[in-house]
Amino acid sequence: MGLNIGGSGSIKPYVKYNAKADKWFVRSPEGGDQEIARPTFLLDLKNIRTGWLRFREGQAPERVIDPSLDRAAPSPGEDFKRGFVVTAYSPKFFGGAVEFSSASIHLSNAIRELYAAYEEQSGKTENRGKVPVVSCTGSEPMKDKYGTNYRPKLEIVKWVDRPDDLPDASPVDEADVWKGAAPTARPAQHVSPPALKPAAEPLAEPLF
Amino acid sequence: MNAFERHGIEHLSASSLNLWAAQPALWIMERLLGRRTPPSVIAARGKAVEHGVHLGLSNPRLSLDECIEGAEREFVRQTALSTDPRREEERKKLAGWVRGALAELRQYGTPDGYQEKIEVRLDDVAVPIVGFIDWRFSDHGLIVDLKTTERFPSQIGDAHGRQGAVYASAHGNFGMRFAYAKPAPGKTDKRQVTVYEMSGDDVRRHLAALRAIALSLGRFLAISNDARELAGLIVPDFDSFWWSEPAARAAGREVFGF
Repeated sequence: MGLNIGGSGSIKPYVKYNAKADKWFVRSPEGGDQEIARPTFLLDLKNIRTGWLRFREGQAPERVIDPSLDRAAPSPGEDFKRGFVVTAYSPKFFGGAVEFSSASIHLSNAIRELYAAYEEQSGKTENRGKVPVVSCTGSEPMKDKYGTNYRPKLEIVKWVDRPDDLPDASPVDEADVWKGAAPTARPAQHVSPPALKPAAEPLAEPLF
Repeated sequence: MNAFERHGIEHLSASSLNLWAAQPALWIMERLLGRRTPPSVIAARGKAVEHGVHLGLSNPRLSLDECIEGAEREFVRQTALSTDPRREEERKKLAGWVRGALAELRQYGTPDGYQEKIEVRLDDVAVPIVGFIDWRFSDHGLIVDLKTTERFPSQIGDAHGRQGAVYASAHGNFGMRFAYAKPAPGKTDKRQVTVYEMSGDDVRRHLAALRAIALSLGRFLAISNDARELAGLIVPDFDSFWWSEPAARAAGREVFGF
């Protein structure tokens, strides 16, 4: 397991659902969004994370991830919305494993219901250790004060073994997880100098 | 072009981000408007002691007196134009800091890296974070940073922690230690140096904080391409110790208008 420090500065491949337009997009090789058809894909719901997300035009997305699914982080501030981050996988539609995240209320509701179905089915003997295959079979228009948005219809259609290139791992960086209040300050302890390595004895050196 | 580049900022540093977090007005004045003030005698003593200690670490045969002389020369050079009344007082204490720090750090052996530039990237932050380590002891897998102080802190503070997190993350699994040196042993606590090591959790926590601070700065810079306009959005707190240098306050009055 690699050290969970540092930063890559790279942009992860992603899939996203535009609830306003009822369209799916992936990141194109040139950058930018590329529209795709309604996908069928593996969804790593075992490792899904929830939290507060903020997407703003022309700015890097910000997120504060809940420490666990049953413990929400406090709202970090204005314009943050509840959402999710999960890894989706489809060589055909996405080119492999990608990040799927959103703070759309309609998509989040769809994912919440999907998760409930996942919890119900994952306990079955034949599904243990497997990953659900989810299909987007359509959408449902939802009218609210913002106009008409769409809620995708997501269904678990079968369960398959986890592919090698879909890691059983958290989809978020540990740095994005809310750590709670600062730990109680305790005095640090002095650390002694390391033991110096003894100088090599000339006679112990290999002879060449 | 991102918001940093629009303001001619090609990289950030832990100290720059610490300053933005602590005193944004001073950051704007120094880093955005280029009105930097000369280093304080406190900053100069830190650099001078580090120089003297490095002389002794890189050459184990060098006498303590030669290391102290080196530190004093560096201090004089750094403070040549300073009119700070604390200058002479600080100069007299240099020998104590060098003595104490060398006694502790010579036990680490000879460093194989000094003042090396490091660079890390934080997710979603458009420019790199750069820094310069004090010493790297590769034989022990340690980075050590020296801090001169009058009193031992009870733990590594946030500002130092963020600096250490950058150094540590640039060095894979190296340990990151801060050596806090006093000019003389205490009356009850006879130690002159205490060394604290950061945990992996410390590193991750401080990197997350640095990222959040950098993103905040990026959002602020995105408001306008005009540094003067940005300066008009922030009010300095001249009572803060960050503004203790008379030259800084004078420049601040010109920039912020009061």
